[in-house]
Amino acid sequence: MKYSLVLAALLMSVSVYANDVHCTKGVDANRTTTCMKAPVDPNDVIRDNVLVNEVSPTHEIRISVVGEGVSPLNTSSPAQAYALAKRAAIADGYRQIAEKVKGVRVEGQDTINNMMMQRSTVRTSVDATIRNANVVETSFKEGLCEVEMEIVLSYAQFAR
Amino acid sequence: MRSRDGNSTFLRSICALIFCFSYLSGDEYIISYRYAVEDATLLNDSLDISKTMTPCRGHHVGSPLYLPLSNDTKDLKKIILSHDDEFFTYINTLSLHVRNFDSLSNGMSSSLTTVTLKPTCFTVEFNDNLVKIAPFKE
Repeated sequence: MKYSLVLAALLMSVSVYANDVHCTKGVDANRTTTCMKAPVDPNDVIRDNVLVNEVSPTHEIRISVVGEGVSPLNTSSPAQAYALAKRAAIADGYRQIAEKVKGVRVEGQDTINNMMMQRSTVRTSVDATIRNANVVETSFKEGLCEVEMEIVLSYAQFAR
Repeated sequence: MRSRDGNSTFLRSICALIFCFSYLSGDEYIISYRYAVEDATLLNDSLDISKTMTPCRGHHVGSPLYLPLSNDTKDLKKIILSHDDEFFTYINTLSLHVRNFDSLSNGMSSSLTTVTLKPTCFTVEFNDNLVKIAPFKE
Protein backbone atom coordinates (compact mmCIF):
# COMPACT_ATOMS: atom_id res chain seq x y z
CA MET A 1 0.00 0.00 0.00
CA LYS A 2 2.79 2.36 1.02
CA TYR A 3 4.76 1.58 -2.16
CA SER A 4 1.69 2.02 -4.35
CA LEU A 5 1.14 5.54 -2.90
CA VAL A 6 4.78 6.47 -3.60
CA LEU A 7 4.44 5.06 -7.13
CA ALA A 8 1.28 7.08 -7.75
CA ALA A 9 3.00 10.29 -6.54
CA LEU A 10 5.95 9.57 -8.83
CA LEU A 11 3.67 9.01 -11.81
CA MET A 12 1.83 12.28 -11.12
CA SER A 13 5.05 14.29 -10.92
CA VAL A 14 6.27 12.73 -14.18
CA SER A 15 3.00 13.60 -15.96
CA VAL A 16 3.20 17.23 -14.71
CA TYR A 17 6.78 17.47 -16.01
CA ALA A 18 5.68 16.01 -19.35
CA ASN A 19 3.07 18.77 -19.71
CA ASP A 20 5.74 21.42 -19.16
CA VAL A 21 8.21 20.06 -21.67
CA HIS A 22 7.53 19.28 -25.32
CA CYS A 23 9.98 16.74 -26.65
CA THR A 24 10.41 15.68 -30.23
CA LYS A 25 12.47 12.73 -31.26
CA GLY A 26 14.70 12.97 -34.29
CA VAL A 27 13.75 11.01 -37.41
CA ASP A 28 17.22 9.81 -38.22
CA ALA A 29 19.90 8.57 -35.87
CA ASN A 30 22.17 11.56 -36.41
CA ARG A 31 19.64 14.10 -35.16
CA THR A 32 19.57 14.50 -31.42
CA THR A 33 16.41 14.65 -29.44
CA THR A 34 15.36 18.25 -28.74
CA CYS A 35 13.22 19.32 -25.87
CA MET A 36 11.58 22.68 -25.63
CA LYS A 37 9.97 24.34 -22.67
CA ALA A 38 6.26 25.12 -22.93
CA PRO A 39 5.42 28.69 -24.00
CA VAL A 40 5.47 31.15 -21.15
CA ASP A 41 4.71 34.37 -23.05
CA PRO A 42 1.08 34.37 -24.32
CA ASN A 43 2.43 35.48 -27.71
CA ASP A 44 4.81 32.51 -27.95
CA VAL A 45 3.69 29.70 -30.24
CA ILE A 46 5.52 26.47 -31.09
CA ARG A 47 5.46 25.98 -34.84
CA ASP A 48 7.45 23.17 -36.47
CA ASN A 49 9.25 22.62 -33.18
CA VAL A 50 10.48 26.21 -33.18
CA LEU A 51 9.44 28.70 -30.55
CA VAL A 52 7.94 31.65 -32.44
CA ASN A 53 6.87 34.92 -30.87
CA GLU A 54 3.58 35.58 -32.60
CA VAL A 55 2.44 39.16 -32.01
CA SER A 56 -1.09 40.26 -32.80
CA PRO A 57 -1.38 42.94 -35.55
CA THR A 58 -2.86 45.43 -33.08
CA HIS A 59 0.05 45.03 -30.66
CA GLU A 60 1.62 48.47 -30.03
CA ILE A 61 5.32 49.10 -30.53
CA ARG A 62 6.79 52.21 -28.93
CA ILE A 63 10.04 53.43 -30.44
CA SER A 64 11.97 56.01 -28.44
CA VAL A 65 15.10 57.85 -29.60
CA VAL A 66 17.26 60.75 -28.42
CA GLY A 67 18.28 63.21 -31.13
CA GLU A 68 21.19 65.59 -30.69
CA GLY A 69 21.80 68.94 -32.33
CA VAL A 70 24.32 71.74 -31.95
CA SER A 71 23.66 75.45 -32.30
CA PRO A 72 25.66 77.30 -34.98
CA LEU A 73 28.50 79.56 -33.84
CA ASN A 74 27.10 82.78 -35.33
CA THR A 75 23.82 83.12 -33.45
CA SER A 76 22.55 86.50 -32.29
CA SER A 77 20.92 85.34 -29.05
CA PRO A 78 20.71 82.28 -26.76
CA ALA A 79 17.06 81.87 -27.77
CA GLN A 80 18.01 81.65 -31.44
CA ALA A 81 20.79 79.18 -30.59
CA TYR A 82 18.27 77.04 -28.70
CA ALA A 83 15.71 77.14 -31.53
CA LEU A 84 18.27 76.17 -34.18
CA ALA A 85 19.84 73.44 -32.05
CA LYS A 86 16.40 72.02 -31.29
CA ARG A 87 15.56 71.85 -34.97
CA ALA A 88 18.80 70.02 -35.70
CA ALA A 89 18.13 67.64 -32.81
CA ILE A 90 14.63 66.87 -34.08
CA ALA A 91 16.05 66.08 -37.53
CA ASP A 92 18.50 63.68 -35.86
CA GLY A 93 15.61 62.10 -33.95
CA TYR A 94 13.66 61.65 -37.18
CA ARG A 95 16.69 60.01 -38.77
CA GLN A 96 17.00 57.55 -35.90
CA ILE A 97 13.29 56.69 -36.01
CA ALA A 98 13.51 56.15 -39.78
CA GLU A 99 16.56 53.93 -39.28
CA LYS A 100 14.72 51.78 -36.76
CA VAL A 101 11.43 51.54 -38.62
CA LYS A 102 12.51 51.34 -42.24
CA GLY A 103 16.16 50.36 -42.11
CA VAL A 104 19.40 51.72 -43.49
CA ARG A 105 20.99 51.27 -46.89
CA VAL A 106 24.73 50.70 -46.55
CA GLU A 107 27.27 50.92 -49.35
CA GLY A 108 30.99 50.32 -48.95
CA GLN A 109 33.88 50.91 -51.31
CA ASP A 110 37.56 50.09 -50.76
CA THR A 111 40.27 51.12 -53.20
CA ILE A 112 43.44 48.99 -53.05
CA ASN A 113 46.54 49.80 -55.07
CA ASN A 114 49.68 47.61 -55.06
CA MET A 115 48.27 45.58 -52.19
CA MET A 116 47.82 48.72 -50.11
CA MET A 117 44.57 50.29 -48.99
CA GLN A 118 44.27 53.69 -50.64
CA ARG A 119 40.78 54.70 -49.70
CA SER A 120 37.93 53.22 -47.68
CA THR A 121 34.46 54.71 -47.84
CA VAL A 122 31.22 53.67 -46.16
CA ARG A 123 28.02 55.46 -47.12
CA THR A 124 24.70 54.99 -45.38
CA SER A 125 21.38 56.46 -46.42
CA VAL A 126 17.88 56.56 -45.00
CA ASP A 127 14.68 57.56 -46.81
CA ALA A 128 11.31 57.47 -45.05
CA THR A 129 8.10 59.35 -44.32
CA ILE A 130 7.19 59.70 -40.67
CA ARG A 131 3.94 60.83 -39.14
CA ASN A 132 2.86 61.46 -35.54
CA ALA A 133 6.28 61.51 -33.93
CA ASN A 134 6.13 63.19 -30.54
CA VAL A 135 8.75 65.29 -28.81
CA VAL A 136 8.71 63.97 -25.23
CA GLU A 137 11.49 65.94 -23.58
CA THR A 138 13.98 68.63 -24.55
CA SER A 139 17.17 69.70 -22.80
CA PHE A 140 19.70 72.35 -23.81
CA LYS A 141 23.11 72.55 -22.20
CA GLU A 142 26.30 74.24 -23.41
CA GLY A 143 25.11 74.53 -26.98
CA LEU A 144 23.98 70.91 -27.25
CA CYS A 145 20.27 70.22 -27.51
CA GLU A 146 18.95 66.75 -26.75
CA VAL A 147 15.44 65.86 -27.80
CA GLU A 148 13.71 62.67 -26.75
CA MET A 149 11.23 61.60 -29.39
CA GLU A 150 8.90 58.67 -29.59
CA ILE A 151 6.53 57.10 -32.07
CA VAL A 152 3.85 54.51 -31.41
CA LEU A 153 3.17 51.99 -34.17
CA SER A 154 0.96 48.96 -34.41
CA TYR A 155 2.75 45.70 -35.20
CA ALA A 156 0.99 45.62 -38.58
CA GLN A 157 2.43 49.07 -39.46
CA PHE A 158 5.88 48.08 -38.23
CA ALA A 159 5.99 44.81 -40.16
CA ARG A 160 4.79 46.42 -43.41
CA MET B 1 -49.74 74.20 -48.11
CA ARG B 2 -46.59 76.02 -49.24
CA SER B 3 -46.81 78.27 -52.35
CA ARG B 4 -44.26 78.45 -55.13
CA ASP B 5 -43.12 81.91 -53.95
CA GLY B 6 -42.57 80.56 -50.44
CA ASN B 7 -40.36 77.80 -51.78
CA SER B 8 -38.24 80.20 -53.81
CA THR B 9 -37.66 82.41 -50.76
CA PHE B 10 -36.64 79.37 -48.79
CA LEU B 11 -34.23 78.25 -51.53
CA ARG B 12 -32.80 81.75 -51.80
CA SER B 13 -32.07 81.84 -48.07
CA ILE B 14 -30.42 78.42 -48.24
CA CYS B 15 -28.23 79.59 -51.15
CA ALA B 16 -27.31 82.72 -49.21
CA LEU B 17 -26.34 80.61 -46.19
CA ILE B 18 -24.20 78.29 -48.33
CA PHE B 19 -22.49 81.32 -49.91
CA CYS B 20 -21.81 82.83 -46.48
CA PHE B 21 -20.37 79.55 -45.15
CA SER B 22 -18.19 79.09 -48.22
CA TYR B 23 -16.87 82.63 -47.75
CA LEU B 24 -16.24 82.07 -44.04
CA SER B 25 -14.50 78.73 -44.59
CA GLY B 26 -11.34 80.64 -45.50
CA ASP B 27 -8.70 80.64 -48.21
CA GLU B 28 -6.76 77.62 -49.29
CA TYR B 29 -2.98 77.66 -49.38
CA ILE B 30 -0.31 75.21 -50.41
CA ILE B 31 2.47 75.19 -47.83
CA SER B 32 5.75 73.34 -48.03
CA TYR B 33 8.70 73.49 -45.66
CA ARG B 34 12.15 72.03 -45.88
CA TYR B 35 15.23 72.22 -43.71
CA ALA B 36 18.65 70.65 -43.91
CA VAL B 37 20.97 69.70 -41.07
CA GLU B 38 24.64 69.14 -41.77
CA ASP B 39 26.87 67.56 -39.11
CA ALA B 40 24.29 68.19 -36.35
CA THR B 41 23.98 71.89 -37.21
CA LEU B 42 21.08 73.52 -39.03
CA LEU B 43 22.29 74.42 -42.52
CA ASN B 44 19.27 76.13 -44.09
CA ASP B 45 15.50 76.10 -44.18
CA SER B 46 12.89 77.28 -46.65
CA LEU B 47 9.18 77.94 -46.31
CA ASP B 48 7.10 78.20 -49.50
CA ILE B 49 3.52 79.39 -49.47
CA SER B 50 1.15 80.03 -52.35
CA LYS B 51 -2.59 80.31 -52.80
CA THR B 52 -4.22 77.37 -54.50
CA MET B 53 -5.31 77.74 -58.11
CA THR B 54 -7.86 74.95 -57.86
CA PRO B 55 -9.90 73.97 -54.81
CA CYS B 56 -8.35 71.34 -52.57
CA ARG B 57 -10.01 67.95 -52.42
CA GLY B 58 -10.43 65.89 -49.30
CA HIS B 59 -11.24 66.64 -45.71
CA HIS B 60 -9.59 68.29 -42.73
CA VAL B 61 -7.40 66.08 -40.59
CA GLY B 62 -6.23 66.57 -37.03
CA SER B 63 -6.59 69.62 -34.87
CA PRO B 64 -5.92 73.05 -36.43
CA LEU B 65 -3.12 75.44 -35.51
CA TYR B 66 -4.04 78.85 -34.09
CA LEU B 67 -1.52 81.64 -34.43
CA PRO B 68 -2.03 85.09 -32.92
CA LEU B 69 -2.13 88.12 -35.23
CA SER B 70 0.34 90.70 -33.92
CA ASN B 71 -0.51 93.48 -36.38
CA ASP B 72 -2.99 93.85 -39.21
CA THR B 73 -0.91 91.98 -41.77
CA LYS B 74 -2.61 89.23 -43.73
CA ASP B 75 0.63 87.93 -45.20
CA LEU B 76 0.62 84.30 -44.12
CA LYS B 77 4.35 83.85 -44.63
CA LYS B 78 5.16 86.75 -42.30
CA ILE B 79 2.74 85.42 -39.69
CA ILE B 80 4.22 81.93 -39.81
CA LEU B 81 7.82 83.19 -39.74
CA SER B 82 7.04 85.33 -36.70
CA HIS B 83 5.72 82.20 -34.94
CA ASP B 84 7.99 79.64 -36.58
CA ASP B 85 8.53 77.61 -33.41
CA GLU B 86 4.78 76.94 -33.00
CA PHE B 87 4.44 76.15 -36.70
CA PHE B 88 7.43 73.83 -36.60
CA THR B 89 6.08 71.97 -33.55
CA TYR B 90 2.72 71.67 -35.29
CA ILE B 91 4.03 70.20 -38.54
CA ASN B 92 5.72 67.42 -36.57
CA THR B 93 2.25 65.88 -36.24
CA LEU B 94 1.89 65.80 -40.05
CA SER B 95 3.71 63.54 -42.50
CA LEU B 96 7.35 64.55 -42.82
CA HIS B 97 9.77 63.08 -45.28
CA VAL B 98 13.25 62.33 -43.91
CA ARG B 99 16.30 61.73 -46.03
CA ASN B 100 19.75 61.20 -44.56
CA PHE B 101 23.18 60.59 -46.06
CA ASP B 102 26.14 59.64 -43.89
CA SER B 103 29.61 59.17 -45.25
CA LEU B 104 32.72 57.84 -43.57
CA SER B 105 35.81 58.16 -45.70
CA ASN B 106 39.33 57.52 -44.34
CA GLY B 107 38.18 58.26 -40.81
CA MET B 108 36.39 61.51 -41.73
CA SER B 109 32.62 61.42 -41.28
CA SER B 110 29.96 63.75 -42.61
CA SER B 111 26.20 63.73 -42.31
CA LEU B 112 23.40 65.50 -44.15
CA THR B 113 19.77 65.16 -43.08
CA THR B 114 16.86 66.78 -44.90
CA VAL B 115 13.37 66.99 -43.38
CA THR B 116 10.60 68.02 -45.77
CA LEU B 117 6.92 68.84 -45.41
CA LYS B 118 5.72 68.06 -48.91
CA PRO B 119 3.38 70.64 -50.52
CA THR B 120 0.23 70.28 -48.44
CA CYS B 121 -3.08 72.05 -48.79
CA PHE B 122 -4.19 74.10 -45.76
CA THR B 123 -7.33 76.11 -45.10
CA VAL B 124 -6.44 79.45 -43.57
CA GLU B 125 -9.00 81.60 -41.78
CA PHE B 126 -8.11 85.11 -40.70
CA ASN B 127 -10.13 86.22 -37.70
CA ASP B 128 -9.89 89.40 -35.65
CA ASN B 129 -6.88 88.45 -33.59
CA LEU B 130 -5.81 85.00 -34.73
CA VAL B 131 -5.25 82.81 -37.75
CA LYS B 132 -6.60 79.28 -37.96
CA ILE B 133 -4.56 76.90 -40.12
CA ALA B 134 -6.00 73.44 -40.80
CA PRO B 135 -4.47 70.81 -43.10
CA PHE B 136 -6.36 68.89 -45.78
CA LYS B 137 -6.01 65.25 -46.63
CA GLU B 138 -7.37 63.55 -49.74
